[in-house]
Order: sequence, then structure tokens, then C-alpha cells
Amino acid sequence: MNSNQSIEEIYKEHNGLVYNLCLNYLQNIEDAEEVTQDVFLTIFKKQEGFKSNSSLKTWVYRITVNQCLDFLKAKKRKKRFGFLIPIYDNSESYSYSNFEHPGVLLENQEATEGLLKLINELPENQKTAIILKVIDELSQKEIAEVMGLSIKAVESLLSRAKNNLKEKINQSEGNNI
Amino acid sequence: MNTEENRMFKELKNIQKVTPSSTLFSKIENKIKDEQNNTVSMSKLMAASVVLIVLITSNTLLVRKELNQTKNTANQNELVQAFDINLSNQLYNE
Repeated sequence: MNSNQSIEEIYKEHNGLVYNLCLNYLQNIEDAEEVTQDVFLTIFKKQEGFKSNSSLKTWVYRITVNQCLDFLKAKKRKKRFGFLIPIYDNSESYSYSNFEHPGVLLENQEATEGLLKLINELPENQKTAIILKVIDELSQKEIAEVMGLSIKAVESLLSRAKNNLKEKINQSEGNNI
Repeated sequence: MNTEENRMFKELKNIQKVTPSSTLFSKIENKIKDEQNNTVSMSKLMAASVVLIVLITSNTLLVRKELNQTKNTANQNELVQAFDINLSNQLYNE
């Protein structure tokens, strides 16, 4: 990143990437807008600490994923505080807002919502890997850079994620019969 | 990606890219301005810390001094009681 690059330029270049990743991760317009704002605020604050040995795109991806996870954790904490989730519940499942994804075509809405709900049940690193690979179509090398893992680790993460998802799909199909 | 995966992720592949609302950047700018207004400068923070340290130190010293004085008086009283020392100038009971 050029040190003189203003936040407006970074926004112009990356707003689509950030907003769409937030939408795919949180599946709600309002939540995605809120997190997108937080992402650019973080970029503004950490701009000087950015090391140009990783690409700006990778850095933006990393901040976005982290902000989405923080948002979901904060939401879970809020609900727990409201006694909707018992204190002893340490499961990784987060609570998501109502499904509201403008990028999903109406005719695919039900199927996509169902699939995304199953992806939401995966551990957070598996969910991240699947979204980056399948929806954002990043290479394994790029995913490794974003997630701070080795390419081998990403490979096995994706394979575990796919197997888990396959199981969940079979289970849900079994339940529907 | 093999055909099985293609089938599994068919729906995800159809997700369209969306453009964020045109007001989003102005909201971000407002957040940045708020952040800048709420941020305390490093020099102010240092000055406040120094004042706080000075206050705590002087307070501790004062309390210590006070405690020493109380301790000395208490010791003197104990001594007077133990040896039954007469603090008045009167030598004999009338």
C-alpha cells in the first residue's frame, strides 16, 4: 500500500470485496454494513502499521474475516448477557440475524439459505476457508496468506470442511424425508 | 473442483456480487471523525499519568508519616503505663 493512499482510495478499490465478504459471512444487510464500516475504520487506524510484504488485498481480507468473527462473538456475548444463552454453553455456534442476502437470486433463496445455515454450523476456520474458496474463489495460497496458515494446512482444512458439510447435508436430507 | 463439489456448492456459485449503499462511505467518514475526536493525544495522557503518580506518591508519604507519629505516641504511652511514670511534677500523693 502506498503510504499516501487515502482511506477513500482504499475504499473505492476494496468496498465490494469487504461488503460482499461480510454479506456472505453474516448473511444480513444491516450487519454487513455495520461490519464494513468497522473494517474501514480498522484499516484507517492500522494503516501505518501495514507491512507491504503482504498484499493489501490479503490484509483487507484478513481484517474483514476477523471483524466478522468479532461481530458474531460480540453478538453471542450480548445474548448471553441477556440470559438467552446459558453461561455454561461454550459451543462455537453463533446466533445470526435473519437471512437477508441481496446477492442470492429469489429462485435459489431457499436452497442457498439452507446451505449457508449448514456452513454456519461448521467451526469458524472451516467456514472461513469454504467461503474464501467457493464464493470468493481465492487460491489455496491466498487463503493460506489470509488465514496465516500453510498451504498444506489449508488443504486439509478444506477437505475436513467439505467432509463435515457433506455429513450435515446428508443429515438434513435424512431429516427432511 | 470435482463434479460432486460442484453439485454441493452449486447454490453458492450463483451468489451475485452486490454494490454497497452509496451512503456507506459517508458513514465511515463520520466514524473516523468521531474516532479522531475521541482520541486523547499521547502528551495529554502522559501528563495525566505523571499527575496521578505524584498524587499517589505524596499521599503514600503523608499516610506513612502520620502512621509513624501515631506509633511513636502509642509507644510512649505504653512505656508510661508499664513503668508507672509520673508525668506531672508532683512527687508525692497528697
